[in-house]
Amino acid sequence: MTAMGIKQSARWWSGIFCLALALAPTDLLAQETEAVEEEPVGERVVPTNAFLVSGYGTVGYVARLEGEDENAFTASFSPILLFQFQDRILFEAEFEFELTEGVTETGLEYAQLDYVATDNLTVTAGKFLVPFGVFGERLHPTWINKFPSSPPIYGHHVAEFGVEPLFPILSDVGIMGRVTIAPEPWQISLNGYVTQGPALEGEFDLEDEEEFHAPEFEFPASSADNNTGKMPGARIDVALPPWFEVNGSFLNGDYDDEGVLDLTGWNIAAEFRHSNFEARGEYLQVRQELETEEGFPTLRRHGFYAQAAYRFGPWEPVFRWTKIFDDKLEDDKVAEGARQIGIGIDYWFSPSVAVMAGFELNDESGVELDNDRFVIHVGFGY
Amino acid sequence: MKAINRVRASRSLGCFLAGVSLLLPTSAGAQDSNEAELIMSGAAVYGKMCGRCHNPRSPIERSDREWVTIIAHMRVRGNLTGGQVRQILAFLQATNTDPGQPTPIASSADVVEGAGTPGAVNGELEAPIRLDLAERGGQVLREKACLGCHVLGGEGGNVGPKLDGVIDRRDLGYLRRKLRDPTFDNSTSMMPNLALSQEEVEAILAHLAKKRE
Ligand code: HEC
Ligand code: HEC
Repeated sequence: MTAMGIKQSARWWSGIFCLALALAPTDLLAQETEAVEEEPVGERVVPTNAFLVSGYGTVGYVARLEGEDENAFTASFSPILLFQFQDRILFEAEFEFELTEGVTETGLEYAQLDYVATDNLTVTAGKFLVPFGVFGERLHPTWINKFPSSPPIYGHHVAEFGVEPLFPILSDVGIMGRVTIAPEPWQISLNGYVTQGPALEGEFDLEDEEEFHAPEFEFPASSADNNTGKMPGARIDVALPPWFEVNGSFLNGDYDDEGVLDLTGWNIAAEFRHSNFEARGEYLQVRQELETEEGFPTLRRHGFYAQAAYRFGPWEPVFRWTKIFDDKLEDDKVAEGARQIGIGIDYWFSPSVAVMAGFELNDESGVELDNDRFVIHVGFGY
Repeated sequence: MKAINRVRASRSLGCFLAGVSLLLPTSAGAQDSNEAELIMSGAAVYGKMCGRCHNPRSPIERSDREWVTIIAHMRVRGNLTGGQVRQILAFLQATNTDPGQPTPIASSADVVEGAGTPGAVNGELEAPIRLDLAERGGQVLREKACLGCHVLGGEGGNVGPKLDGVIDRRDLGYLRRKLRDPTFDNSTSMMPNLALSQEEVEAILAHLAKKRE
């Protein structure tokens, strides 16, 4: 019990440390290279409050190419509501409606209050997209993601009969501080947060399972936390915009109801862009404690995706390679990995409207049947 | 924060009054050139920041008011600094042509096919340059913040290609189309549709042609 107490308080302290890091240096670092006065020059329009609707959606089709004959029409719609109060407060929320196997799933993707504290610091509270890696926070909207499905290390959009995600993170409830400085030509940010953290999905007892697999977890983001442990995390972004960026992320929390089983994730992401060419990738690793008769061994799961795209006029071919490694706990306990090769092409009608089509060649270790898919959709943002 | 605002407000009010009482025309001129500089630097920051996560969105998609809220959204999502927000907003609001009203996106059909559209038939795409508009052209290149993204005569930003010599590199038909609708040959161009009028397009071409001499 005391060990747990120490672990809890260590986590709280590291959470506070992350936030403090995010909050502290603003005044020290507030040396903008281009000193722009706070008052707008000339007659700039700054409303005292404003309401705006934006968002995105898709209409599409997905088919399995081998084995069982499965296919489905898909549709999703994600309205975003923005309410701005003066120039310091923004309330933003995104709803999600998605057809999945005949039922319409609804979700609250995020609902957050942003407070612009200084030129370099924003504080956010509520349910927000977690800055762990970059895909979930920046790229998952369907007019932004250049491939018609999400990379399998994360899962999310068009998950029907695809590969099981390695780390299903998107949003969570908590508080976050974001600091940015822009010493010409760099752009450097630190995003620190504390959220409710992950929970075990369903029941899991290692001894009862017929085949070994890692216990699945999710980020339920409900107001009732499943355990008392909170999840601190942080991401640092170093960019030389628009050409280059690297991000390093870390998070740590408990995922079982008793708050004993530890989950640690870290991620390294990078992107590179030159004229019509763009390449990006993310590597992530999850260390997950399991409970066995001998104690609490750690299963280390890891994987990556790498993507390249090149634009010719309105056409943009996309190549995405994802790998989830087999991870061994003991000789007879292997969490199976998977591999996906994605080949796709986009046709852009405008910067935020495109038809995207792709083949996914999916191979899961230990699974006989290939799980290849064809996915096509019209993605639009407004 | 409010206190700082108040200090700043009173400081700039002080400056303003001093300016008015001393040299009215000069101070108005300085104001204009500050504004022009802010817009120009805004174009460069837009070019750097607004195509990193998604394709760049055109200023004319949204009204002045809408941009305020969207840029607040992007400030949080994209970790922009306050200085960058003010620069980008100045650029977007200055170049979306119609403050207060969302502007319909000029369709490429107006310019490219244009069979039924007066003034856009193919013959006119090749019409001779009207050099008398050259001076106005220099003005437009600044007002529309072209130089925030393009170098001309050693001055300007490097988001897009140099405009020196572009008049020789490209034919007039191409340039007339490109300026009216930058996405006609590149549907996700970083160059925003600035809703230039035909006169403005002609003036820019005249300026580019004159520069060559
Ligand atoms: C760090 C990534 C990132 C950067 C940088 C970025 N955006 Fe976005 N933008 C997004 C995401 C993600 C969305 C989708 C909104 C969502 O899902 O909440 C979006 C949405 C939008 C929208 C749709 C309206 C809305 O608010 O949802 C517009 C317009 C837009 N961005 C313009 C811009 C402009 C102009 C810039 C340059 C200042 C910019 N963006 C920079 C990530 C980014
Ligand atoms: C936000 C940055 C930005 C602004 C503002 C901008 N441009 Fe561009 N422009 C670009 C980029 C990037 C390209 C190259 C990509 C393309 O061809 O679409 C380009 C391409 C061009 C070309 C074609 C050049 C060639 O060599 O093919 C011309 C001509 C041009 N711009 C003129 C202008 C003029 C005139 C203005 C002002 C009315 C302007 N641009 C404003 C970014 C900008």
